[in-house]
Amino acid sequence: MAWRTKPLSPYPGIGAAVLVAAFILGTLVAVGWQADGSKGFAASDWVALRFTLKQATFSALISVFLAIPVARALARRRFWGRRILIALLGAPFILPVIVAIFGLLQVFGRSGWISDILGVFGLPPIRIYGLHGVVLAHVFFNLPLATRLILQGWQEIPAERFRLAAQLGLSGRVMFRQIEWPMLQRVAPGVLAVIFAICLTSFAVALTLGGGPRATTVELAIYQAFTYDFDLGRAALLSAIQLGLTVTAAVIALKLSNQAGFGAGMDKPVQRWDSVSPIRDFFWICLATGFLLLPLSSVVFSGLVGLFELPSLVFRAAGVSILVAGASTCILLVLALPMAAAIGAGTKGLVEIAGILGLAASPLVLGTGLFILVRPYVNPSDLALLVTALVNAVMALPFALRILTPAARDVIVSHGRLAQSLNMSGRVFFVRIMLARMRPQIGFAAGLAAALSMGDLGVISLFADAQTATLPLQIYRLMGAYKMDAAAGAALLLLCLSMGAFWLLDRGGRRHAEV
Amino acid sequence: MPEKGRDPVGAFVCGAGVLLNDLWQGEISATAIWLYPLSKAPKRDPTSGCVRNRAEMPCGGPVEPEPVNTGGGKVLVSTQILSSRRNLEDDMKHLILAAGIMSATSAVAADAPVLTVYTYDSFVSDWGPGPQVKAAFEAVCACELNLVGVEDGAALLSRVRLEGKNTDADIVLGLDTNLTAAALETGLFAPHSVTADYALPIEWTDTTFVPFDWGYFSFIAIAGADVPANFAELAASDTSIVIQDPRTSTPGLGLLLWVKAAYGDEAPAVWADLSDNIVTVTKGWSEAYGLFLEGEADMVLSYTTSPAYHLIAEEDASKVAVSFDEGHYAQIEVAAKLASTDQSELADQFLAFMVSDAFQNIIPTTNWMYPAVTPANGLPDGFETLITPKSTLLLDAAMAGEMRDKALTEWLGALSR
Repeated sequence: MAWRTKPLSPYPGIGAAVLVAAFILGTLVAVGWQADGSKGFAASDWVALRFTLKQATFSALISVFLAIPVARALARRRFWGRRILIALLGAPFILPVIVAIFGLLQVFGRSGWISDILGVFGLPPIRIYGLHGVVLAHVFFNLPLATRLILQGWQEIPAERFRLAAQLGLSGRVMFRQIEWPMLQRVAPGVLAVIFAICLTSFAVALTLGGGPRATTVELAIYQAFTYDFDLGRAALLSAIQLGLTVTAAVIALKLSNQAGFGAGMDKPVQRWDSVSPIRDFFWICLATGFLLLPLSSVVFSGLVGLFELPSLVFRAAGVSILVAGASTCILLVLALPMAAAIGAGTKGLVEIAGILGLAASPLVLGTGLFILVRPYVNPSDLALLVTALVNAVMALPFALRILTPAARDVIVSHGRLAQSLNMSGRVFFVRIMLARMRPQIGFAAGLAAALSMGDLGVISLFADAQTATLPLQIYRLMGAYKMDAAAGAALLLLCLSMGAFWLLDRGGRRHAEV
Repeated sequence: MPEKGRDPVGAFVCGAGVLLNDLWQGEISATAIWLYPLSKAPKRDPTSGCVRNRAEMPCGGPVEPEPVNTGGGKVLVSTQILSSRRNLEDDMKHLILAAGIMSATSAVAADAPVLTVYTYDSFVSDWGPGPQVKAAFEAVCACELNLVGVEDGAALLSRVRLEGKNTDADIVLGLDTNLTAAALETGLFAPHSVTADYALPIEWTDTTFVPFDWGYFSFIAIAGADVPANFAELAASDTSIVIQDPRTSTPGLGLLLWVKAAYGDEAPAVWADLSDNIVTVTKGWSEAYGLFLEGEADMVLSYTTSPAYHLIAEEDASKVAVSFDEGHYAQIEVAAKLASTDQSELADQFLAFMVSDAFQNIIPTTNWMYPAVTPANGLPDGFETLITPKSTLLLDAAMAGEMRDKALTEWLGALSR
């Protein structure tokens, strides 16, 4: 056998990355190619670009800054219901946009719970609409993701480090500087970049909570270019700008991120001796719980009425959604695992950037590009579900890589040399060691992908014929037919399915949390 | 590590593997599952939910032509509506295969011609007119009506422009008069020869587009609330409204042109005055209407016919349309035949059917709009309670097309401040 510096080959991962990049850029080119004559970049697009950057930056920074104390508190404390809480905290992230908006407004809206309470004291209702509303909604969506990713960073610190720190009598602050800060340096820039990229493509949330055309984002401009102006060239140009911004953010994040790992441990349960005063931790946990679970509980309350009168067609759509989510999860793992392994083995740059592109790609451009590409050969509605699953997988890829990559890197660092000295082949290393060691992260990533796919309206509306509706599409159709109660019921069903899929797949991911 | 038997990740991967393996090994014959629901399962009538089979026809109407397997191609999959939960399993297998197997051509049943109609999504939805229209037309045409849903009117036009002369559509149904100028410009549509005794608020002279329903845009409020009588009063009051974005929604565009038609060059000033009444602007009608029902605003932009839904379907008389004395802007929804159609006669037959009672009777209580031709048995009970605007505002198609961009720039300018 040839001499290798790494226990496994990065080529499958590079191959997957090239596929993903070709998919995203190919659809973009297909759309641009189809264009004839374009107004190009309009003055209003500058305004949209500025607003988009502003809200995405604020949303990412605030989400991550709030997530750090919450994740720290959750990492330090063990209490009854912690597992359920951690799972529930993931829910906002996987809610369909429209459902989340209604949940948020029932709490923070003009006639929401908080305004009602303020009214009791004779105070005016709070005004949620504006830049702060957009940021609030984005923090609501992304705080859970940031918390989970950062919490995972904490869980990946071997228990022995904390034991040693306690034996050395390190105080909380020193412990933070020596152990936790390096971990944050490694994890936080990537999380920032991911959330920034998600918020770049925000559209309905930004418009609705932004209170009007001031809150026009680039994604809305893309939609307008497609449907209102039918200016494909401009749509492609704007989409390229989104991709450019995301790549820039990703490159900056990679540069800032500290790559050093923590080395191996004995996988013992983490025990902490530094948690002196629980009050601060519980403050953060309660704050996050309240902020995230109040709107969620309003979704549950409003859905209960409609849940028992759901038309059978909704259950059919739920079946379709489960299928799509399953397929999407499989596609995701097939792409993400080799890519994570390749990044872990030292092939950074291109693979990581290809991985984050999925977030910045406008779903509308992806869908339309695919539509243009497949239409000469196949009836697009025949592929509706496959395409939806594929697009959902590509969109979940950035999250999956954030989850899988640090673990892959640690596995290679800690077990790679032993594997090589045993002359273990790359494939055996991947199957026997990597997959086994990364089980929690694989479960988490798969759960997230399944749930995201379940809740995503995605491109199905571009492709679907009357009969193949997913659950989110059926929710929109119910709303379009004035059946708001049934829609709320279907939204609750969707929430349960998403959470169920997440819970099921993520079980393994909460290994540390279970002790 | 949890024991193997309780390993959901493993089970999931394993299950998928077994399924794929079985398929490869031929354990499950793809075609067998594929055809099962089509040939063996009792057919369900989507409108009445009753079972029908070939021997007896309790549901009336002819039986759908038996699907024919065209060499692994798609076999009438999309026409099956199997609504019972009992059939969910078959259905799901069926969908797996529909998603997984790519047919090289979109083959159809050999003996019946297919008429493909592109329309907006809420038309094809199970709660829209689509299923009933399909059943009614198929009862008379000896054909298959293939309804394809595309988001909304504007997205519908974009889809047709994207597909151009190669479009699969024979008919596009669901544009409105604000879009017909742009549609006409594409040169993709063919003239019609339909005549009917229209109940429209204007005289219909368009030779390309045939109207199928219409309505007035209007603000909807809770009955008994203090409501303004026109835009000026609205702007002066502290009544809050939620509207749709004209860039992403047809009602939003309707409101834009309503203000423009009523106020002309003063429209920017009106919008500037209205800006503090606007709670927010949403992407589509559903979000706005939902926000209104949640109590986020006193009024929402919708149609004068919206209260009919609450009255007829929910027996709830608490929603009213607010009459504005400037007059109300009308929306007339139209359909047209594509010049590139290979089913020209069938398309003509559909357009004629569209203005007949069989189609028009379906519209009021599924699309919640006025029928373009009042059916012989009149409008459903409840429609007589709706407000009738003092006057109708409508920019003609050419004018609307011309005004659109100017009005949008003014709107953006006034509301972005």
